[in-house]
Amino acid sequence: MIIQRFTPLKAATKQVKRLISPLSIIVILAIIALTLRLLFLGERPFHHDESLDAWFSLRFLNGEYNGYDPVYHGPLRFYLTAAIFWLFGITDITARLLAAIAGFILVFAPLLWRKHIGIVGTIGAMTLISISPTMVYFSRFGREDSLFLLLTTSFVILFIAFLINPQGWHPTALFTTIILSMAIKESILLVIFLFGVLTLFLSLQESLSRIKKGTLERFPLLSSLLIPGFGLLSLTLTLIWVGDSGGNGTIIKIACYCGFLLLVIIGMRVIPSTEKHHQPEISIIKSLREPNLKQWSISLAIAGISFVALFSQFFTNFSGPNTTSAPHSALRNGLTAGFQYWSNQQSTGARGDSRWHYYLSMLIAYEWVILFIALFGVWKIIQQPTLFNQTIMWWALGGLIVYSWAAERMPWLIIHILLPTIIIAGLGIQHIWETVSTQKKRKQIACSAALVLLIFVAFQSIKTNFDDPGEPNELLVQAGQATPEVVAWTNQIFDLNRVFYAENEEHLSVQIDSDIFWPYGWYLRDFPTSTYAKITVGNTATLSASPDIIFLPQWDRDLAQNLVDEYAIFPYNHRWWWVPQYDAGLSNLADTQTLLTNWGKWMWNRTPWQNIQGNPNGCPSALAGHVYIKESVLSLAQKTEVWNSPHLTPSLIQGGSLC
Amino acid sequence: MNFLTAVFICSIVLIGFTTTYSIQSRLSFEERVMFGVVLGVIEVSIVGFLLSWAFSVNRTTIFISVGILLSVNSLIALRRRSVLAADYESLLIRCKRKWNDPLSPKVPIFLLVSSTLLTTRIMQIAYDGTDSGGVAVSHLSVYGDWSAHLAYAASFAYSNNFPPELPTAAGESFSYHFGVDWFSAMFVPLGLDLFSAMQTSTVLLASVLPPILFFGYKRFVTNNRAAVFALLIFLLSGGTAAFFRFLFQDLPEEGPSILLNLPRSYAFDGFDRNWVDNAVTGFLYPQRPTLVGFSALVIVIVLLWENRKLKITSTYVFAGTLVGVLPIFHIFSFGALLLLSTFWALTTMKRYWLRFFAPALLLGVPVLIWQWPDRDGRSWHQLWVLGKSTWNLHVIDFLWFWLLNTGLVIPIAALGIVRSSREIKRFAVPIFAFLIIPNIAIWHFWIGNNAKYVILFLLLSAPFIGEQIELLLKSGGLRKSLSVALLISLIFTGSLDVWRAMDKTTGPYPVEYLTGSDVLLGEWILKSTPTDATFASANTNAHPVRVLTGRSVVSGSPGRLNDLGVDWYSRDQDLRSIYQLQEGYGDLLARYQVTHLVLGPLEKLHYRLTPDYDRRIEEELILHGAELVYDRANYQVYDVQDLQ
Repeated sequence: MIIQRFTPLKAATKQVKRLISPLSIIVILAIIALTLRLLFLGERPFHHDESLDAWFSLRFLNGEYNGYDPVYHGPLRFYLTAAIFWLFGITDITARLLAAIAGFILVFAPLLWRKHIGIVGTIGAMTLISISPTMVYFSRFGREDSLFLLLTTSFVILFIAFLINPQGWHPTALFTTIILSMAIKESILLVIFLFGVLTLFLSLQESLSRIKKGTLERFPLLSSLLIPGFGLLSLTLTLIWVGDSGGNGTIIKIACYCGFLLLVIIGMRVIPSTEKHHQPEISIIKSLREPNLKQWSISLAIAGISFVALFSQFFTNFSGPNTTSAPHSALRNGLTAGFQYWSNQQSTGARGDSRWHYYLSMLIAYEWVILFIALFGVWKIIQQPTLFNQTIMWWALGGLIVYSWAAERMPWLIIHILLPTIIIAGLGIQHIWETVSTQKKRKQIACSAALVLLIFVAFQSIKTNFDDPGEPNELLVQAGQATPEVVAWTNQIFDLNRVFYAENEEHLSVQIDSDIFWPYGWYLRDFPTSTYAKITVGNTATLSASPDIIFLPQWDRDLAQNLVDEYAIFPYNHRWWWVPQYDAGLSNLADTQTLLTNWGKWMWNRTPWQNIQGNPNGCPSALAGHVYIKESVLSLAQKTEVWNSPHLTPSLIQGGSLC
Repeated sequence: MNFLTAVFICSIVLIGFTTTYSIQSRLSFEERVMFGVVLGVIEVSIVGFLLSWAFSVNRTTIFISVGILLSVNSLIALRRRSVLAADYESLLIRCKRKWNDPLSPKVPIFLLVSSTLLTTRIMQIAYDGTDSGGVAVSHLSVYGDWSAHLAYAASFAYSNNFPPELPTAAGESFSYHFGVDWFSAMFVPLGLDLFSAMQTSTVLLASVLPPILFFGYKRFVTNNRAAVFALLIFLLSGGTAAFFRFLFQDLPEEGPSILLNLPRSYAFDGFDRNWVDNAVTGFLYPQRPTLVGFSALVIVIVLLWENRKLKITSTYVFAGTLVGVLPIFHIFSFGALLLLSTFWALTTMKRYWLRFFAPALLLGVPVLIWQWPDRDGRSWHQLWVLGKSTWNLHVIDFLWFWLLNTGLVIPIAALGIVRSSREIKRFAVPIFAFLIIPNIAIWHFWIGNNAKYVILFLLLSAPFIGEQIELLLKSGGLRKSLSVALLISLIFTGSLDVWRAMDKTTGPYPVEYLTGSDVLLGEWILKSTPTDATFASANTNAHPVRVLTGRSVVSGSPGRLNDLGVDWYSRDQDLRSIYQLQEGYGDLLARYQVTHLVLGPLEKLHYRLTPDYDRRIEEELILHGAELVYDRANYQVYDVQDLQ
């Protein structure tokens, strides 16, 4: 009787368990990830770089793209975005769709490593990628970083697969991934350097295992700490030594470092090996020998053809854009201009944030939960230094070192460090799960803690990405971010033009100073008369032509003095940003509370703080200026009820600060 | 697409999906989802329509409709949760099966993704902006038929058209299956503009049609490949005209680059030699009711087919109810299903068919009576278009006509049905009625409308053709080549036309559809005139009053009014009298209860008004009490309510 009563209950429990299978959870995660990436995707005003990417894609679609120029990075994303434009239309959403799709696919990367991470860790990592504030933010950001990270991840997946279980097709896939990455961004050089050095260290580890009996057995830590310890230390020291020399100096010093490692490896190989030497987990030589000559040849041929296709706009244009940064033919630009540009950038000084700890600070600000969980992962990696574990750790920490060394420090580069950190966090989650799952109480505590942290991360992510994500008190917002006024003025111009054209059968004449032309270049793409105007002391011809609407930055206001009578003038904010002092308020240890309060307020409701020196530039500021509208045009707009007052935000140049 | 629209669409899918659990049927999870989209659209449209009629068309009404349906259907899903869970589990298991496995969900998912992408492309280029702030269109379907659909949808979205009257002929009952246009109008209160509403609703319905057809066809063929062939044969139909016009005329003249700029439609030549257009560009795209109708037709057939042995009452009632509401959405599918089911019922003579016919007739006939046009549009003839246009009344022309318009569809379909099982044969025989009807009768005012029966024949016969091609392909050798040649012959013309529909710049398109001045006028009317205002305006193909505001007008485009059985001629003459200020024009304005008279470039061109006419009409109208209420950008609007 009792058994009969419990049978349906058991069946129901079984059914529920079946329904919350890993596959079901993955489906739910996919829906969450997709929603977070697509919802209100077009709402945030365009960043300067986003507008350029979209505009170049449009040029390619219209057959007007001149070819690869490293200033604007590789052409592949223009091709892909152009395809999206063709299919789904040309809108703000579709301009960001490629980043969103790449960011969505990235969620599934841990699935391919589920055997290494463990199923709980895999789902944990997928959850963190799905909802991490930074991952979501830059999956909704129309630059190339999301796509580049997807390709880097594909490269790492193939790299690990090639070393563990080499297949004949692996070189083709690896080379093609590198070429595709080259056609997206010059950062591929950093990836190649990072994984090239890792390969050398793995060879060194392999060589160590071959030398005479007793060496490794006596020093087991030598093997496990070789890469995370000695490897990362040597990488750091080398990059400090290389510094910001740029150009040939960088190449020579890096070559010296790699040459030294190579010599050590060769030296180790020379030492006679024991017959019963320690078998390494992998053998790089064996992996390299696995594909036959034909397969290597095919892989090189495919990579070569892909390179030519991508940099010649699919064999249609072999001449380059002929700019200072891309002066050669299309193919030569593809091969060398990227490196030259990057190398020059490295030597000419920092772009973005100049502080070496920028990425660390940002990670702590937005992703401290992931960093905290990743500590457990690091512990597991030290305990079990498998090839996978070491590679992921190298990718994360090596990436942090390399990107912190590189001269350009921008918020969108964080994701290149964050993703491998999340994989380590996945290892940590698996480790915690394995530790607590045997005891019910511990399991309950761990699950409760995980739930609290998950809610916190989700809350942070929603706040960062959906609660005015383009406002400068978000640290992820960079100086190129346009204010909402840009969108408001764009709509105003289109509305005004419609009325103006209907009345006069000619379009409004709009002149925008070259310093504030972007993102108008994108927003006004269909506007027939908007012009990129270089207005300087020696060149005010544009103004004397008396255009209907003029956009000028504050520093050019004097040039427009004689326009005052005929025009109505509106204050205007073009872009905004905040460069905070991370340790603001901390003059000695006793002030720790001020520091924590500043950060706490920021985390709770994104309240910015002033720099310790009281420098107003430490608070969010804006590139401001003025919009001049002919009185006759303004009165027409008001008469026809199309005047939307797009100048709502008070000008920041008056107060100088948003704090 | 905004957030509310996304929520609305998800709700529709959920409503329709859970509805499928109200009956006992052997549908798979993915079938329930795809069928659910169409069922959800029908349910939300009907409940939303009734509530909007009772209150008004706004966001609250629409979400209350959704809320009611979600609540009711949640209870159904909760009651059948064990079946739902089993379906879901089955889906997870079947996901691992190979593509050619009949139970694998991969093919329908692939079809859904492909059709979504293709439809999105076709729809996103449908409308574009112009430099002047106007609207450009890129396909004949949008330029032509969609002008009427825009007016219908706008009449609900902006002009509170309850009880429904034909907005293109003031005072006439809405003798049209407007369901899908009402559905589009529901997107407007959610934040979409009218054009996006039309595009979004079309993408939603068109995306699920191929998987739904696949599910239907699969039941009458031996494997997935045959079902896919059938799908292609229907969607890419178009006769054989392209073999000559493309391969022997256009391609040699222009070279391969012509593929990037196809100069003309190959399946349709403006009712000269080609009368049966491609299913997509001639029916699904321009004639929006087919989006619901074709899917619903297949769903009902699937339900009846699955129920042929089980004979579950609720399934018959459900199918009958679905057929009963079809006159609102697609009258031809309603008629087709009644015709087919009558045949099936007569051949079985079983009482359970009453459970099907009772709701179908009880719901359908009153709607049908309400929609029935005042004018009698019936006539009888022989052999459809033979003896008309450039076709002669010869045996050769008879054969040539069908070969040019449908290729080898008819003989292969006949062969397929003859070779099918007895059970399928009984099910399939009545579809030949759709070939007989157009050859003996015109029931719909104009001979060209008879193509709508032929397309129904194509829709229903496609699985039998697909099966024959698959059998040939499987038999190998020379027959394999023959099957490939046959398939190409059946889809080549249609493929070119569908490809052309995906191209934004095929001459003469894109063309300016509305100017910036038109749009300004439309905005002013929406802002400044009452929803029940009636306008006198030119009865050109597209006019801003109709397509942007949905306000009632004296006359829309005469051709389209003729299709609906409206006395277009009298209205056309009356408009001329009004604009030429002929004696008694005031009485005509009063007869149609015109409140506003529009005088713009279209009126001046259409009624050949002289340059000094502006002054004359102003004097005449103002003198008699009219008021000039809008005067901007070549348009004047007079309020003529107080005209004496």
